[in-house]
Amino acid sequence: MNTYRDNYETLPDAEGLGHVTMNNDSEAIDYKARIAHVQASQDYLTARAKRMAARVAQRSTEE
Amino acid sequence: MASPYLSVWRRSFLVTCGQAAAKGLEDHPSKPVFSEDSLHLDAIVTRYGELREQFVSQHGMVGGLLANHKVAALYISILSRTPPEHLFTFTHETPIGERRLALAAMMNAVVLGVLQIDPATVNEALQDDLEYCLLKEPPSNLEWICFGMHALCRHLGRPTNIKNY
Repeated sequence: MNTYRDNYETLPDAEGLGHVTMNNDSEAIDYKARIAHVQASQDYLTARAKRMAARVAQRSTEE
Repeated sequence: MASPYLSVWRRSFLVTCGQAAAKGLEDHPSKPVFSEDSLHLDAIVTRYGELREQFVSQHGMVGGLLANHKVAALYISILSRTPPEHLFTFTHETPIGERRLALAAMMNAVVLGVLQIDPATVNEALQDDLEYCLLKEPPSNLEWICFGMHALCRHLGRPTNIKNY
């Protein structure tokens, strides 16, 4: 089965793309940094959770 | 297999995401509390490791490393199949339909964390669509989740090495 996964190629120019991990040579995930990022984004995640809650509530009242 | 500490880090990451979801819903009537010591969480981390290895061996990734969008897709694939009660406790009168809310909020945190999404750059319409899917039943096809996560990365302007035709 041919899927897009068979079509990877290396980036032609990696200069200045040190932060990019979207290729086959991805750096190992720095979980410590990811954890800090999630914690730092709490306000945003709370806003989204509330928005989802409102959405769910709205749908349940429709039924 | 990489460092034995990796599964500890993966677990810590999921705990952080679960706690962020619970915190985000602390005013909600379902009052979800994340079960940090849940054995189901250990099972999820194990399952993630297995699925990841399978994925890597099938697709021959260099150095056994996966692109971020695939990592996110693997987590979503597993979490979306997890009954919310395995990871959260709720007030007993919480309707079944509202329990997935906590899980969806957790998956949102996983995506944000793995893809390193800056909240300031989020397109609200796209995020609404993502959340709609997270609130729904588990997707059956990992490939489609990969596609969705990759599309998100593309939208955020992350360079990618997937060949353009």
